[in-house]
Amino acid sequence: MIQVTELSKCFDGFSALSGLNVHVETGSIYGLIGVNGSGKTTLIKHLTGVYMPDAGQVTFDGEDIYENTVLKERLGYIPDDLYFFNSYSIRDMASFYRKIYPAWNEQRYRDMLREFGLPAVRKISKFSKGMQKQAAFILVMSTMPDYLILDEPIDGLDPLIRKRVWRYVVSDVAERQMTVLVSSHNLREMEGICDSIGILSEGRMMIERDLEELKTDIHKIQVAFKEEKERPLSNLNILHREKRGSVELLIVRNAGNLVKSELEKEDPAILDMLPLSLEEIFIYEMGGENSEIQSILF
Amino acid sequence: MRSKAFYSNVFSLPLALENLKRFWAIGTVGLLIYLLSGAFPLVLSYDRIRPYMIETMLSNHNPGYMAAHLFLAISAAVAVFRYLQNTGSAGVMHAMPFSRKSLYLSSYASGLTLAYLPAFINGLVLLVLKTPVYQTVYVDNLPIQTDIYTAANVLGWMAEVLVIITFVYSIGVFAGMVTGSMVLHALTALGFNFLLTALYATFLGYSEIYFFGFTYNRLISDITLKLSPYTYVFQAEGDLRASAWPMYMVAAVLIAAGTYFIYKKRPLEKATESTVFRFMEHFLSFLIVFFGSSLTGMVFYENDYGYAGYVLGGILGFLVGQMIVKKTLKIFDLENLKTFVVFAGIMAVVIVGFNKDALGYERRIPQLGSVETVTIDSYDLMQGNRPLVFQETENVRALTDFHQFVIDRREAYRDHQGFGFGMTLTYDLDSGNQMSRRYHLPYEAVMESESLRKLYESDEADKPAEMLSQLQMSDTEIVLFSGNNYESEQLTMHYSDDVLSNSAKRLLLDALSRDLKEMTFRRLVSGRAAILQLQIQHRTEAGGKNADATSETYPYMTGKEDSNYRYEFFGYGITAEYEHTLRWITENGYEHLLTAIGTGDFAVIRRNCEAEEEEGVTHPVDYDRFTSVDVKHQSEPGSLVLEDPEAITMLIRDHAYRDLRHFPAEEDALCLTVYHRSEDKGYGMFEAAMRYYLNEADLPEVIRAEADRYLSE
Repeated sequence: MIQVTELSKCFDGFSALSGLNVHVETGSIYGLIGVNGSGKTTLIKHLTGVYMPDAGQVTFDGEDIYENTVLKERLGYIPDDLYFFNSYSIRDMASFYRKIYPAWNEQRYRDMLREFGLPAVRKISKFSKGMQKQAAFILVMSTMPDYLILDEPIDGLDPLIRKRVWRYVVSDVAERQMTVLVSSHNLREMEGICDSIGILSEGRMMIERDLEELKTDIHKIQVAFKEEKERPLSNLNILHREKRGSVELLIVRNAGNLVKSELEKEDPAILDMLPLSLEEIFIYEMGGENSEIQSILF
Repeated sequence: MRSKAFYSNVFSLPLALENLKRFWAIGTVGLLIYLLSGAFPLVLSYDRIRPYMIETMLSNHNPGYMAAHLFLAISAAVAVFRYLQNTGSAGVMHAMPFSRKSLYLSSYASGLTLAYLPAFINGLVLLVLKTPVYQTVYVDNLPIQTDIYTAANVLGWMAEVLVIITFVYSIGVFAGMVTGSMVLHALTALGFNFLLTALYATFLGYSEIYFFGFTYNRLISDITLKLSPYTYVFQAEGDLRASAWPMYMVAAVLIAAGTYFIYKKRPLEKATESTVFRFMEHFLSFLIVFFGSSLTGMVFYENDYGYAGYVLGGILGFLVGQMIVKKTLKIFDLENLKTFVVFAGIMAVVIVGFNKDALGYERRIPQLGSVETVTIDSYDLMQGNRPLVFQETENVRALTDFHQFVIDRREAYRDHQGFGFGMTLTYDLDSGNQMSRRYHLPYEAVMESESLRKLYESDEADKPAEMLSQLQMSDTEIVLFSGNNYESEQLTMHYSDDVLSNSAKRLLLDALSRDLKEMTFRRLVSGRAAILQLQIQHRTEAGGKNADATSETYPYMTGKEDSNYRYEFFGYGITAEYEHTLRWITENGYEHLLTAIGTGDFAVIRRNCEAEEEEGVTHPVDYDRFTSVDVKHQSEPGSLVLEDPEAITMLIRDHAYRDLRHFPAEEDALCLTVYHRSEDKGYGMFEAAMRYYLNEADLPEVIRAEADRYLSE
């Protein structure tokens, strides 16, 4: 489990992170969403033990990550701005990683190299940006990390490669209980991958939710009643209510059964429970009109 | 699975080895420089190796070697810590299973290995090439022939280079830890290595400009150069002595340890900025202001532009410094204006502090009880080319009294540019330190000093005279020659076991010794012209091999070829006041030596002393004999040519002064220039050999009429 508690960081008087809390369950994929400059990379550099917190704690399974080489042997990190030793090929880098990561899996390295089709002996600096990302992914995944931190991992990758990358990640999460935190500025990309989501804005966590729980508890309902009258539906937690002619659109946060039973009491002419996208869930969760959230989601 | 964290916490061998693999090219270039500068030329001339080749190599005076040391140490430091200067690399490297300690130690060790390995390999090559090469070296001031290309010397070189490279490299690493870009890392690595030396030299520059009495002595220049083992090899003593190695190694270790603690605090997010700590931004910026202002100011000061240079240099330095440390041209804001005001304030304090002598340098005189000896070194007050050394309390007091007298009048003497006495006072203190002051004083400040009179008439001042009576005559050679021309008439009394000869020498030196002892201060400073030179070369048993065969050998004296002796030299200008010496010369039949000029030579008296700058002149009187006659002197008004040796000798002996100490100004004196025949200048050519000064009112009757006629025209 990755736990960030009351993390704060200032750069020359500018508060990059302020009292931040993050909770990533073991064996889950956590999506960290935020616009540019929201503090995602700063948080990630704390999660990888690169930055020293001004205040607060970053722990992996209860242990502080900063200067913890034992934990870092189990940590895989792919940054947004990649770095390889100058003039090194994947093979050269693998040779170095092999010596410093005790869980290095040679078989996986060979398999991934073959599957991604990258030349092992060509200088990485000669690769395209997408190929460099793949190279970094091959190397990091071959270290068999227990924790994987990915900063904008799929930028520059074509859809086929993205799928392949996520397959490896999901597979390791399922098989080895790998814990993953992945950052992105686009919520749509995270849907279908993440188990939980945190939205970061101006160094603060605006919202952090488990997606399954969120999807179970929030409902989009189209309802029309035979008689026009005011229905307070006071037993329901209505996040959003909109009337379109005789049809009302409701966003309700309650258990599905309760919602259905409460509405049926009013004998509706039409009652449809519609699917909610992740974007809609967050919009309504956050109050619906927050422009910053809109910018993150779209 | 075995954890590698155990050693990754302290040192990562894989990382260290990877660094060597990554940056091997630096070592290769360094090795090539070493080999091309030393081993290759050695191989090419292996059958005729010159000692200086080995000496310059093994004492690190070989420019190629020194360039290689610097290149390797700085390049290695910049290369192995380059990952800190980029956000991507800093992030990835610190996310790997290394602690900052293991990153630092592994990188430091691999960089040092990279920097030193080429020197080590070069040392092994030099060991393979080893062959006996003999050179004169000095042991206890005794020159002896010794093999300088030995295994011990090569191993010593390897150790010395290790010290130099470790020190320079450690400072290079420190520079990387406080800067955020590779370019600035390289520049500061270079700059910091010479920073203390440059600061010290700048303060010495200020001292020279502002401090009355400031002088460089060996101690000061040595301190400047000894601040780094790299510059140590340039100081007078030459080799970086083994005794100094531990000191520099300890300093390097302390710098490295301090750098580690800085690394632990280094904010990695500052990568790509010029500096990673706020204080470094101000520090670097101020250094640029300090050196810019100081150097420009000193140049302008020399050209009489006063303080304009300091202001101009300071402003330019500030603008350039801010642009560098902030990596932008947009530096004109209120915050920078405040910084500028602070910097300007500090510079003003520094400059005014020097100008007003805030630390009391000019006023400082050592406590009487702390002075072990004091040496007074003045060409005009010397006897036998030796400075006088005093240690008796009364004499030290007399000298400090004189020193105080000078200090009390420093505002009057500070800008004295005219003729006068140059004088260096050096106090050796019981603390082992030395304090030196050099003054250029008006004649009267010295000639009328009662303190100096006491000093020079004390028993201690007779020591140089007493030393003469202790010389072994068989090992003493004496040469007397007329005037100041060793090609003129002379008497040479060689080393000899002949009793009569040695007896004569003894009597001559006894006479000289008596003259020196009886010399009053007034006579010493009378400034009378010498009519002959007496020079002594004395040898003492060396008890070994003296291979100093040629250096400092005077053409009119026996050479110093004999390796069983070491040699000392003393010189005296004999004036009319050396009565006993002159009597010995006369009584022993050498009156001809008292004729100050040679046959055919001539002298010219001029009213204008400036009119004698010619490289060579023909005889102005013998114009009928030569086709290329220069009659300028005779035809020009205000000059009188003299040919009569007796008249010239009489003028020099009884009326001439060797400087202007008795004249208010140069135009108040007549100049007497003696011309000697000079084959160097061409056939029939003469050159000005000596200038004297005459008081017009004191001219003898025999030439007064001529002088009145020619000099008044």
